[in-house]
Amino acid sequence: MSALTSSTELTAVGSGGNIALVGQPNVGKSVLFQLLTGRQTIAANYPGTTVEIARAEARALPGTTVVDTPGVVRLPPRTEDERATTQVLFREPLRALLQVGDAKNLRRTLLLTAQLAEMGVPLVLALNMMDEADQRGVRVHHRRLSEHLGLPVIPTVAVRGEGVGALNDALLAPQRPRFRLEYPEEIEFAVAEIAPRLPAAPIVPRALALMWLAGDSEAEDWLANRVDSDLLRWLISRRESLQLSFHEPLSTILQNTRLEFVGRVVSAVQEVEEEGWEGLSVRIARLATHPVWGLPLLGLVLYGLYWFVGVFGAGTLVDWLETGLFEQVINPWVAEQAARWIPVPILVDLLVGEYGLWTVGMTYALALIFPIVTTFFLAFGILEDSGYLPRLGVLSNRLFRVIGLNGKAVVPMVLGLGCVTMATLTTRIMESKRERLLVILLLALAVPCSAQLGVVMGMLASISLAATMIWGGVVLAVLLVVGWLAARLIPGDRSMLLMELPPLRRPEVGTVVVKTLARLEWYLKEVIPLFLIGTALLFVLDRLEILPWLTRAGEPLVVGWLGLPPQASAAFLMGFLRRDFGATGLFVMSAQGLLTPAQVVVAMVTVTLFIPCIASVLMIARERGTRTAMAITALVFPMAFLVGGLLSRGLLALGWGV
Amino acid sequence: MKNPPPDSQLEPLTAVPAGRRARLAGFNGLPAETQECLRAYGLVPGTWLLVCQHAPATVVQFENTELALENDLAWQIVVDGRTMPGAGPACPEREEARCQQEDASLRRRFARLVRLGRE
Repeated sequence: MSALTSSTELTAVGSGGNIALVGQPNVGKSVLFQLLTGRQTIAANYPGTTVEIARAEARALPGTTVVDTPGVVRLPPRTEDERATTQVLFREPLRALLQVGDAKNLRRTLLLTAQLAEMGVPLVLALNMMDEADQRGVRVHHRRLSEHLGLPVIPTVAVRGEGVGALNDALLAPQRPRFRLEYPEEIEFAVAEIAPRLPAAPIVPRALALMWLAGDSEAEDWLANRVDSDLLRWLISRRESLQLSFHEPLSTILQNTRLEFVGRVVSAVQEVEEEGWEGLSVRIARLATHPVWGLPLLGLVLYGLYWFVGVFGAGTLVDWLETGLFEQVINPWVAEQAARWIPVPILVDLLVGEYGLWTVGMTYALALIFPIVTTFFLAFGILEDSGYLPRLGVLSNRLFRVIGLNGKAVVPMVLGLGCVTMATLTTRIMESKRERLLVILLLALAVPCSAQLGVVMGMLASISLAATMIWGGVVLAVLLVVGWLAARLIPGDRSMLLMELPPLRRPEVGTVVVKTLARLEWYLKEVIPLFLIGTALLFVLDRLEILPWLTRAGEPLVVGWLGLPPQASAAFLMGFLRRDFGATGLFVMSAQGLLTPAQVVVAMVTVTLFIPCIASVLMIARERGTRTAMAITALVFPMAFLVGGLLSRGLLALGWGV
Repeated sequence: MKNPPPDSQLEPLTAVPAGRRARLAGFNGLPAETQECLRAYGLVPGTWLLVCQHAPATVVQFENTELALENDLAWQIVVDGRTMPGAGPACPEREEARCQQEDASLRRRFARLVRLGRE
């Protein structure tokens, strides 16, 4: 088995087309994307940040679009976000592939390179994180590596912008690698038989044949749509007959061949001065997953989060913005201007009345929600950039086991505390459909987003610590019970934890700020229209005298079952649009002294278990289909009221907070 | 070189105490897909693994990668029972030749074990 590579065989390709960034998770693809295009995507120090494909024009190569893809551990892909890499191969008009690789993990990097180089698409390898490799005593001779692979290899340190010029030069005239790996005889024989019968594809027939033999689902789909049923049947039987020659699956045989080649290249181009590099960050990283010391560290992180988001964001900032700025300065001024310039009283009312677009919709969004989500996204950005989250996954794996998941689910679950809609998208990093469904269900039911969390915390903190504990305990119990039941009802097996722990790093201020701004932009675009629609709806209902009627109609449920004052109906109605909007309505009621402590707890539990918001339902429908979205909605609403009512009776029986 | 000791030297990764290194021999009974995933991370036979911890999950470090594995999964990973202390160079240069020779014998012994298991 040998790789026949020679630089004389390289062929140049013309300009135009797209450049796709591919590579393993957490190697710096998104940072390079920012450098090449000047556009910001969200990058983080954990796998799964890029779940959707981002694209933007290259700064140095006019007319060329750069496409960023989620990380891929191996091909054929296992998760939905990993499939994006093969989708790019088949669906994009590619000018070149730019593989971003981790210099300190050469073996893993080159395994993917060997697969990509086979495709016959021009390929450039950016060997990133050269500084970290250096620090850990790993020396890579990139020129020698370039000769071995027959393609340009550019050393880079993306976070400092090093090597980007050389990368742009290499991408100016990308070349097809003439890379060929010899596989075992039987496989080569089958490939020679299959390749000539395949339709023309964006990749060379040999690569397509190998992907077919490995069982790559994207290649299978592509072929199934393009060949007649006779050829497809023949392809399937040929693959089956070839499999009979081997004990192990064909994909394993192919991988082993590549690994052997990669092993030889690594020993030829890499020198390791010392192994077992131990810096301070490594020692802290060990503490973070330690069964005993991990817990106080987690406690510290949670306390920091609580202080920054709960006390500073939801307390100090909201007080200052809402009571100080909006109620005393901005809103009176807006009301005055509206009264002066708008001659139609009903329009004035729509803008600044009891259910005014400005006085309610925008004030809620900007004075209450904005400071809370800003502080949350900042704190979350610091956490994810540090690499702490996967370690939290290790610590919480046993808890996730109870609900049929593994510690990997911690990323979407914690992100859900920021924005459930965003987190629903991130479930693509989970391995099976079953796990994605479980996480989406639990996100929709029992994970409050930061806006709501801020409002809830603000209300509960004003009562007592016990109130917060009851709320947290009930919501966690519902999460565990529903998760436990759902894990038993949804068919399929739980997959065991297998997760990479990226190195713990000091968060980069620039990255955190960019990320927070990108998330805030997404969030405000989602939240402000919904708040305005919600307020307008309330206004119309109020004008048409439907609101009092609805309040009465909701009485048996809200007053009879939940034991809340009738006005709470309006808040729950708003909860259909966004649960934090509903919570904010209840916040106002509580501030007016209309709720007893017990009623506050019941109302908060009910509204927390509500479906998060219309945007998240739409996202579930997009990701998992309309039927799933409807089923989850149909499960969540009765569940919220059931738990709320039971809690109300329980608290009444105990005589707590009545 | 002395003849390698019998198969009893092979043991699951979970048997390696935290803080020690052991050399990967292979995977026992793991689905092919999981095996391929582990190999894609760089877990190939002959790799020295530093076991960092076993609770709440097994964490191993090799080359410059750190992987968290559920205990049940780590149990199906087979290593050479002759471990080394965690500190210091994993495979000292003077031992390199010996390591390479042992790689082959380790793989042979593991294949034999798997065959026996099948029968």
